[in-house]
Amino acid sequence: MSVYGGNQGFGTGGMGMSGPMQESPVPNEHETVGAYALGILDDAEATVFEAHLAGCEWCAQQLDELAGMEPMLAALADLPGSGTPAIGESLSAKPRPRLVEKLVDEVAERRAQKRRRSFYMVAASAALIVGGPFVAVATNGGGDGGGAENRPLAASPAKEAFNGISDKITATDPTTKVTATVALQKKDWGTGMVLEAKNLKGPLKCALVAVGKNGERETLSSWSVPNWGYGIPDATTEKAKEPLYVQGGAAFQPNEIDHFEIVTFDGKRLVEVDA
Amino acid sequence: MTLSDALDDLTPAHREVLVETYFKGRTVNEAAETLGIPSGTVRSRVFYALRSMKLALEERGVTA
Repeated sequence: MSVYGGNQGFGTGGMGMSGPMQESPVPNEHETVGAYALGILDDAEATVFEAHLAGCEWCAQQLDELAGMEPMLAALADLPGSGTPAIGESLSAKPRPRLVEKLVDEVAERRAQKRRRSFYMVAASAALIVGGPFVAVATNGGGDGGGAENRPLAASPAKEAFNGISDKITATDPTTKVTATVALQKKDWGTGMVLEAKNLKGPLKCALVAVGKNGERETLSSWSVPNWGYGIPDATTEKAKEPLYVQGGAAFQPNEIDHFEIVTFDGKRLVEVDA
Repeated sequence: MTLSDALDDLTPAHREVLVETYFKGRTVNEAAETLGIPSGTVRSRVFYALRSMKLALEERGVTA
């Protein structure tokens, strides 16, 4: 099958290809990840790319990074007063006024869910299986396909993994009100972990840190919180109500861990969970 | 920095492929036919367009 078109197109991008990305050109096949993330491949191409994705860590990483762009573009396309084709034409013709202050709303979310959802679900599973540390939870992520439809797409694999682990510990900080629930699994290589965090108000960058009984600290994962936050109970959008799920791993054995902390990049401790 | 700024900051070729695919609801192959360029080129430009937009947004503190 030659859906990738061999090398055609590589180096023929004209002026559009200039820019920082030129420093590290990637083979044509991998570039398909962008179109895949937007759901603009036809079914046959998407299927072929999924086969590639399952074995390509680079693409899994790229997909992870680019998945967030689709809702943003959806928000752009859903600007009030403009049908999609109309906005498309005006966008291509001339610069637009500053119209979008709010990046994602419920309309955008609905739109994102309408589009080729199955792609993402499959992609997310693939990323889960090939994504380095994520191997830790792959066995938990595959089984439960049901009920995944209404979850924010990027969160699903971690959420499924979270739900698949019975050993959980939780705490809410009295001051910050942040609630963290950590699901733990003993692994040959250490401890696999999925975090559910609620009442995280953005914008913020934070990390989950495991602190050992010996005082050593290991960062299990880090993330940024968008303006609308995660797990905000009285939020107006479903997106903001949905808790954050992230997964990671530590070299510690579970019984070597004293506690977990969510810390901001500027050093503030948001919540501590005793192991 | 808004989303539309990020889109406007793209090169014309990059903006064009996003408009002709995503915003008009066309697949890569359909857009390639409309634009008269190879579909591999469309795929490539879509990828770099997304990377550029993401980078532009991140530089201004917006994370996708």
